[in-house]
Amino acid sequence: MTLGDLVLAPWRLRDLGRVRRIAGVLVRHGFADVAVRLGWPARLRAWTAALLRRPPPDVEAVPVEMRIRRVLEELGPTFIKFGQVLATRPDLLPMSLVLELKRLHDHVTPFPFDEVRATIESDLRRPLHEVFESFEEEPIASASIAQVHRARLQAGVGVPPDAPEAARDVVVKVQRPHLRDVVQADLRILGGIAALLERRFPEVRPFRPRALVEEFRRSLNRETDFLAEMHAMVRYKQMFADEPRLFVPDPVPALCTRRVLVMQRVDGVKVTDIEAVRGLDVDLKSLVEVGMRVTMRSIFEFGFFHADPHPGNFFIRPDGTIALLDFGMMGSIESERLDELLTYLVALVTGDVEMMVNVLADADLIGDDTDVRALRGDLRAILDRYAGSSIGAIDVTSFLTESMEVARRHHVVLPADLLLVGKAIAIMEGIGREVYPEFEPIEAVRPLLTEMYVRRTLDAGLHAQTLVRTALDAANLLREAPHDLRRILRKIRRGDLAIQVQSLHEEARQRGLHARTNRLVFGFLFPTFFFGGTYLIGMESSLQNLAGLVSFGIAGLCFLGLVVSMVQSDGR
Amino acid sequence: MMDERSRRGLESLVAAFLREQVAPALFEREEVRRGLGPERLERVRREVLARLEEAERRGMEDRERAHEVLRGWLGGATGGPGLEALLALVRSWLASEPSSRRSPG
Repeated sequence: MTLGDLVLAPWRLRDLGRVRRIAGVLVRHGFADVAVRLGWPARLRAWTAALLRRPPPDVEAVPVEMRIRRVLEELGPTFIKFGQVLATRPDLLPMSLVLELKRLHDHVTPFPFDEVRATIESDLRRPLHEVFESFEEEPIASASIAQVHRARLQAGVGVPPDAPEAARDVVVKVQRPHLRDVVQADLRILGGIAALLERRFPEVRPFRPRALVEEFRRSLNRETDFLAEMHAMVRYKQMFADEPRLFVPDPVPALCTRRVLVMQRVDGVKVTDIEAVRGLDVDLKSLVEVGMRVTMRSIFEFGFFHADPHPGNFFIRPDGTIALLDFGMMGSIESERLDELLTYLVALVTGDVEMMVNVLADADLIGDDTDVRALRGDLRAILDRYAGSSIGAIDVTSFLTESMEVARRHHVVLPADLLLVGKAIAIMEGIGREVYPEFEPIEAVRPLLTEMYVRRTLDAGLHAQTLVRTALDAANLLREAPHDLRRILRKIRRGDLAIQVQSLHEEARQRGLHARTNRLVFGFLFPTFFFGGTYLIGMESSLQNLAGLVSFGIAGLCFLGLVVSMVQSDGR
Repeated sequence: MMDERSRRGLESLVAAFLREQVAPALFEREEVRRGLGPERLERVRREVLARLEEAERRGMEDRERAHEVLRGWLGGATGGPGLEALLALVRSWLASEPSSRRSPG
């Protein structure tokens, strides 16, 4: 890394302390080589740390996946969340690492009530007691982004005067103080690390670290904006107005800000409390079917779905309705992608490999170097294996995981929205099996998916829209084509047409050139200062002798530089 | 982009095409029959066809208007040949089978 790189990378100067801490954590967990290859100033830190405080000798004995998880845990909330996002990418990362990252938990101690009060009063611009008749100081939940408190609204505040008494019982989600600042700094650093990884670790490039961080940035920015969460709740509620067995709590818009979210309280049993759920007087089979139907409709009918349907976010209310909470992480999927996904899943649940491969090809997900025949064979092998089991015994999660591994093996890079869909379905399947062990996910999903596929294929409004878009695109293309063509022809005639060709080995060539230049300069300076020093040291004047010593010193540094440059060059 | 009546007209044209050309083939497809089962297949078929007929009927009087709008766009772009190109495009789009039915690469 050159001084220019250092100056041009603002995250490095602004976040120097944090970068050094990251380098320190990497060294402590046996990743000194990574820290060194990340460059200045991590390199300085890594060298110092490596020399003065070698990692404990048993570090190398700990599996690398576990060390990666520990690094992320030690670096705090942003990195933990990033690890959790990576855990949803079995198409990119080895399964051993994915499984380890799934163990990441954000154990976070609650922040003090004074800070809760300060945030609410600052955002709502009113003293707490003017808004809430009572407010429980002890949070009922605490996570890396926010914590949640029970409260009761003052009469006439936030809800209409004629609203039922129970509408005043609310929960208040309050964001951690200074969270956005910390997250923004960490995101800058993560972005910088991703760029360096892409530049310096060719083996990491296929995992597209910069794109992953960018994806994460968008997701985290949404999650830390509680107004976005409020809008998502309202939208989800509207989407399922015709689903009487789903309950989405009402937010209190007048009391919602980017850092504070006030919503209707939900009473019920957590779906994770299996014994209590089974003790309810509700038909468990139909309960699970409702959950699966809502998940599928949100994805395939509306293209807007709960991307983190964590079991802890599901409650069963005493009247047998399902309450869904926490709309911080929502996924959305474009219409075109939805068609592809729906077709793919219909092919999957009906065992049509040809159709699966065609969809992947049409969606441009298959790389040039993919052996389509081998891909088809692997998909067929998975389908055959599962086709042998009874429908009820098929574990959708394992099935999806195996499919992801096939995708990774054949360089089929799946888009993030598709993976979120997979995650949402897999979580729902897990919940379904817990609550009602006889639940047969494929059996439940197949008719749902097929019906949505048929309805979408025969949706005249949707096709008319596509047709209009296509017609406008075609009209624009036709209108501009003669002009564009004329411009290109003119350039060719003038000899101005430039074609930019990027050599795949350009970077390596540049690095080699840089190293050779360094060696040339050091090689020239070393004898100059050495012989200059020899000449000066032999003079009578003490001043000249001193200059000779300085000259020797510089010659020594040049020699050192020459050796380092040669060693580095050999190491590459 | 397109006024309400023209949109209804276009939707009516598309609905007629889907009902006459696409729906029969779709409901005959093996994965659809297997995925839905006989009872659900019949229910979905009835509902979908009824919806298409309704869309056809609703925009019947505005079909010519939709044609005019499309003709205007393309005519504005390049004149007659443009319109022909678009109509060919539309015809090929309407006649194209779903991607999944094409032979694999």
